[in-house]
Order: sequence, then C-alpha cells, then structure tokens
Amino acid sequence: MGCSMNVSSYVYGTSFYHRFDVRPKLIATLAFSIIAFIVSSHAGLLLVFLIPVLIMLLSVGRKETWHCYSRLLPLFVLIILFAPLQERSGEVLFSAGGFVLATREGAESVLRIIARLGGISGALMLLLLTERNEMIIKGLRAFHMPYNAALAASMILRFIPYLGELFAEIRDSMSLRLEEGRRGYPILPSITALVVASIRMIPETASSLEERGFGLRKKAAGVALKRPEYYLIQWLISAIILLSLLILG
Amino acid sequence: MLMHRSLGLMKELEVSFSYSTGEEIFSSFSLSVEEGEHVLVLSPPGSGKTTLARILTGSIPKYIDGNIEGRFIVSGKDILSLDIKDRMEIVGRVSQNTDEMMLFSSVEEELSFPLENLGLEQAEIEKRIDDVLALFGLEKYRTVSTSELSGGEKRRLMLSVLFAVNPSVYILDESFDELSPFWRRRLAGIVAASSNTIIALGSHELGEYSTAFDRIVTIADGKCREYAGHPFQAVSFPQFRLGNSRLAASSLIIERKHRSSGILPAFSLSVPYFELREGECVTILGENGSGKSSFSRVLSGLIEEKEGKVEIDGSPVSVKDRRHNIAFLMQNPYQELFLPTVLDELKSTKAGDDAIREALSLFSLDGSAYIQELSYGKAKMVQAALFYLLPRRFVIFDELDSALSYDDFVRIISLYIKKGCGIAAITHDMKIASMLPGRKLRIDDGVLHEC
Amino acid sequence: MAEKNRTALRISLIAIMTAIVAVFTLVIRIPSPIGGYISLCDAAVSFVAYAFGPITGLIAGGLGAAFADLIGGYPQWAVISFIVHGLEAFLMGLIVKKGNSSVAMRIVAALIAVIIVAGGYLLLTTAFGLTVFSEAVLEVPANIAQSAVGAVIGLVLYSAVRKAYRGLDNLRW
Repeated sequence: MGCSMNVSSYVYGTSFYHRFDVRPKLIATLAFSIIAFIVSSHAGLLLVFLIPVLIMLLSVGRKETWHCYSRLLPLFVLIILFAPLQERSGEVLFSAGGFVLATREGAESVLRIIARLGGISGALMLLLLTERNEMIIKGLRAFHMPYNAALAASMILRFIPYLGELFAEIRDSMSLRLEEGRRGYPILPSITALVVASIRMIPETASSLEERGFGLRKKAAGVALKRPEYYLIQWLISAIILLSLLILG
Repeated sequence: MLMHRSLGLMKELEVSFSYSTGEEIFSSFSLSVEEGEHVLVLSPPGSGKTTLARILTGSIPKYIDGNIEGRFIVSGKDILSLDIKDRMEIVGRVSQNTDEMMLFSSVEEELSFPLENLGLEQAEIEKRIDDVLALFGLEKYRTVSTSELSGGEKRRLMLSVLFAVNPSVYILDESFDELSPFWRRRLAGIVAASSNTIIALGSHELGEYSTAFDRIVTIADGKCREYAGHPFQAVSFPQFRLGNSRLAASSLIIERKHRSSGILPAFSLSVPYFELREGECVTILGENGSGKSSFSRVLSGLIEEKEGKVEIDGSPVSVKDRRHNIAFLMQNPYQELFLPTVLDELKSTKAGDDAIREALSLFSLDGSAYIQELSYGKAKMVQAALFYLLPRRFVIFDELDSALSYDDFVRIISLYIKKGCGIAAITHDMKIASMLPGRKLRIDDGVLHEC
Repeated sequence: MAEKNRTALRISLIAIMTAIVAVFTLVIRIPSPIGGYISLCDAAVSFVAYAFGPITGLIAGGLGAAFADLIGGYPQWAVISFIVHGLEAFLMGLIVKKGNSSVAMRIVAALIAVIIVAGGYLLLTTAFGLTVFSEAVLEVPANIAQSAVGAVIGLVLYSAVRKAYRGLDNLRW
C-alpha cells in the first residue's frame, strides 16, 4: 500500500501483437536478440532498432513506447559522449583544434552499439508489455522448461510484490516509532525485519506446497495451451521477418 | 445433530504435543467428530488452535519441530503417520494468516495448482474453479494478480482453494476473520449447507457461528473440553479523561486504484468531517474494502490524501509530522515488530526501566520471549504495549479485535482510555462496535459519516 | 525437523530468497556519500551466500538480480546480471563456510565480490557489445562502492538475522 510495486509490465490490449501466441513470440524474441548481434549492414542495424519501436507503437501506443525508451536515453547519451575515445585511428570525421573527435570507424561502432542495445531492449520489453507473466512461464513450459523451475518462477512473481509491500509496511511502521524531530527510517533494523519475516515463510511455504499436493504426481502434466487462430501463419510471419533481417544484415 | 451416523465413520483425534522449546500445548487432547459434523473450537489466542490445525495437516512435525504423540483416525486409518501430500484428500485447512498459504501471482494459478496435482481432467479443473469462484463471489477476479486482493478477498480465495480440493475434513482457522458481515453470513450459510466434516477454530464468539455449527468445544490446559458458554457480558470501560487536543480531518478525498486490471473499480473514500478528541474513543465501522485502513493510513501519515486537510488543534500537520502524534496499530502485528525479543522491542521506545516493567505486567508479557515465536494474539499484545510506551496522544486500532480474546481486547482499550489517548477503533464487527464506548461512525458508499 | 520433502523446501527457499534479492535491488535504496543512490542488491546477494551457501547463492543471487532487471525495465541486462551476481554469491558462499568465517576469510570474500561485480559488468557489457568500453569503465567506481558496501551490510545482516531467527542454519542444504 505504502509503495506497492507491480511485477507485471503487461499493458492490456487487443493489438495484433497481443493476439500473437506466446510460443512464436518467445522464439521470435530470442531469435531477434541473436540476429541483433550478427547484423552489421546499415540497413540491417536500422531495422534492428526500428522493428521493436514500430511494433511497440502499434501494440501499446506512444506513451508506453516513450516510457520504455526514455529509460535508455541517458545511456545512449553517455555512449555518444564517450565516442571520441573509441577507435582513435582511422578516417577522421570531425576534429577540433587538432583533436580527433570522431573517426568513421568510431562513429560506426557507436551507432552499432546503440542499435543493438535499443533493439534488444525493445524486443524484450515488447514481450513483457504484451504478454502476462503467467503466459510467458506457460510458454517456456511448452518448450520443456522443467516443472520445478516454472513453479519457482511463478512463486517468485508472487513473493516479489508481497515482500516489496511488506518492506514498505515495515518502513512505515518504523517511521511511526521515531522520536519527534527525526525523519526517515532506520535501514538496518528494517531490512533485518524483512529478511526474518521472509525466512519465517520458507517452512510455511514448503508446507503449503505439500498441503496442496506438491509431489503427488510423478510426472507433471503437459501445459494446456490452446492453438489460436492463424497459429501457423504467426510462425510464418515471424520467420519471414527474421530471415529477411538476417539476409539484409 | 443427526443421530443415524455410524460409529465407524467417526474421526477420532487423540494427541499430545510440545514444541522443541519445551512448551507443552496438548496433553492427551481428545476430540471425536462425527461424519459431516460441524465443530467449533472456541478458545483464546495462544491456546494452540493453529498448532492443532498444523498437526492435522502434517505441517507439524514435518516443518515445525516438536514432540508429537497420538493419532487421528479417519475411516479406520491413522492420518498422523501419513506424509503431508498424502493427506490432501482427507484433511485440508485455510490458515489464519492467508499470506502464509498463498503461493502464486494469479488467482487462477492458485486454484489450478492443487487440482492439477490431484491429477484431475482439464474439464473437471475448469468446472471446479468456476464453481468455487462463484461460491465465494470471485468470478471477476480470475486473472487478477493476488497481490491486488484485499485481506477479505484473499481469505475468500483461500477458502475457494479448500472447497475446490474438497477433502473430507475441512479445517477453518479463524476463517470468519477479515470477512465483511455479508461474507461472514455467507460463509456461515455455506458451512451449514456443507455435508463435509468441518472443524472451525475461533477466538471469540460471533453471532454467525450459532447457525453453522452443531457443537462448540474449547481448549483448556492442553485438553479438549465442552464449551461452557461465555454469556456476553456488558463490560465496563473506564471513564474518558478528556484532554484539550483535537485531531480533525476535513473534506478528505482518498483514492486507490486497482493496478493491472481494468475490471475492478477504483476505490475512493470521502470524509466530509472527522474529529477525534484527546481522551475519547470513537468506533469506525465499515465493510472490507470500504477504505477504513486507507483512512487510518492518511490520519497516521503513511499515505497522502488526494484532497483535504488533517489538523491537530486547528493547525495543519504535514504527512510526516502526523507519524509522531498518532500511533497506528496495524492489523498484522508482525509488521510492526522487528527486534529479536519482547524486551528489545519495548526498550526501543526509550522508555524507562520502570515503565517497561509496568507495561510487561499490564499486557501479561514475558520480556525474554522471541517475537518470531509468539502467537498472533500475543504479538498483538506486544504491539499494544509498544505504542502504550511511546508518547502518542492519538491512537488508531485497525481490527484490534481479530485474533484477540474479548478479555485482552477490553484490557487494551481500557489501558489506552486510562492513559488518556484519543482512540479510533476500526472494525467491521457490529458486536465489537456496540460494546465500545463513545461515538460511532460508519463508512457507507464511500462516505464516512456519524451513525 | 523431521525428515522433509527437500524439494518443496528448496523450491520455497529459492523462490523467497530470489524475491528478497529482487526487492533489495528494486525497492531499498540508500543515499550514497558520493551522490545518487546505492542499491542493496549486493547486500542481499552476500547475505544469501553467507546464510545458505554457494548453490542457493548462485541461483537466488543470480535470479534475483535478473528478475529485478526484467521487472525494473532493463531486460537487456538480465543475462549479464545473472552471471555476475550468481558468480559473486557462489564464490562468496564457497569462501565463507558455516563456522569457518575468520575475519581474513570475510575480507577475502568481500574482495572477491568487488572484483567479480566491477570486473564482471565491465567485461561482459563490452564483450556483448552493449556499450563502449570507456562508458563501462565509468561505471566501475560505482560498482566497486556498491559491492563493497553490500558485502559489509550482508555480513551485518546475517548476524542480525541469525540472532532474531533461531534455526536459520537448519534451512541450509
């Protein structure tokens, strides 16, 4: 309540990318991230940067897209500022008073880094923005992620907001006990209380798992994921886009 | 009570138990329950109700140390020798602390996990989920994140899980707590209509209990006894010692949004005028989710109001400064206790040794006890002692009555009245509200007003 | 405790400690003497390593940092964070074993943490080609400060938690 946190970046929507099945989406995201490292042509790099931006704009809108990329801007600026230190020997592009500001090679490597960083960040954010966490885990299970690992992942997503809120409560109630004139909250006792409370939950949680039948089934059942309409076409579209990107690059 | 039940279907429990610290909880505790019977175990906090629930499901001794002797015979089989997971279809519980049992981030996963473990068909799983969500009014919450649920909604979710699994014996540990009057009545109706064996555990009498249970027993000296009845006595509270200070709030608007889903309505509370005088006691009544806790958080300076102002003696107080003037006893006492022992906690208030000694005896506490090993009810006493020692003119109790016996509840309120604090007691329990002295306020349709 | 289903306990331990690392990283920030904020990620990572040993440390420390990146809006660093903090916790857990924690060993563990975190981010971010070398160098002092402060706070936290929660050592595996 004090400062509740949201572990889900999911933005509700009905865009074409929202309707994309999680399985092709996962594979496409992974493949795109790998291709981003391989691509080196100018056109290819431009696409690596622009494809996620474009899909994001179409699926979650301008505000969310800006929100996502604005977090990367400071890093982009830093990288550009440090560009003069990159690849000092080579064809000089700019110089000031005899000092080489940028070489063609330097500028290219900086742009490559920015395209790659932006592309990969965008593609991953796009996945998190258009797919619920449970669905991502279900998708991973469809690709044979071990049952216990998927279980742990679901539990982690429950405990992060819970412990985050618990910490906010602890911090708040700590501040309720302060003497007049003092502000803030004592950090060490607060984090100790948080950790003790969380450790107390370990045996309780283990028991809860078992009380609800964990370990009863010898073999975990398969994942119940329905095949949406145009399932094969979704795979095909992803493959075409990724392949053409690869060929361009 | 029906008389035709055959003896072979009795569930017989006979158990002795002590924690590895040496503390003895049960000595030859024995309880026989008939098939389909609904028994209520009514006894004060700390008497071993949660321990009993844990022994029956197997959480004790597997995950919590202790020396256990005895048996629990269901259909001729001793359940206590079974592993936890193998008891799943025989006995299941809803724990008092809902957060302790919740495992997943979405309502749907919470429900499907045990059903999948039972090896049910997908169609059957879907059907059971739909049924229990409807039973407990959670249809709209299926894809909602569990972290967005209120206390009462979490309770209903955990009840849904138990009803979906449908073991032969249900254990409801303080399950009526945190539910609104509406849902208490509904749960009583659901229990009454159930043909399963139900053992409910409670700390104090509720009006709703009478219709739902066939029999009431209690725990005394580690043994199971017939409940003698505790006629509701008119308690007398000390006279108010009115002071000159006033805490006032006017034209407050408080808002909170449900985050990820557009389905659930945003909640908003408006407080046209509220006043609390030093030394008086007022009661604030409201259903779960009506904004009682948010209002107390605004008054005590933990969250900010959207509009309006909070004043002490006519001058506005900043959010931060409210914290030094208004004590807030949160519903969950563990959230306000951080140090290893009771004495460490009380010393952290910088109170003198004499004052601490007095507080220990006033609140019946053992200074050397470890906080994390205290029962919920005891932890509430520590929390009360702690704020009693801090120099605060006003105090807000958020559901102080939950998991406390009437005696302890009355004792805490009386001590604070004697101290001369301005008290705002928040509750959803009509009986508690009618018992307390002073003015009554209520939250209806998002507005706080005098009754 | 009686014989347990170790798998249920391990999953719970990992899930809750991973969440603790993520919460420390995302939520708890303390003002830094050189300006800005220090996240307590490394404090949680070293706590897990001290309290539960190298394996739990590797999984919970690495996963916790990775989850924090995913949730916090920096998914591109998740893999690198997993490697760096997982390795950090693994090595610390190996060095400081239960009952074998002389002051010298603790200092060695803290030094290892600093080297892994500062060096790991520097090497991996540039090796993956996700930043220019000079910008990565710029991050080194902050990472040194953060991991050094983290190692110390983690140790203090460990002794405080052990005092308040008797039976902490029973949860190791």
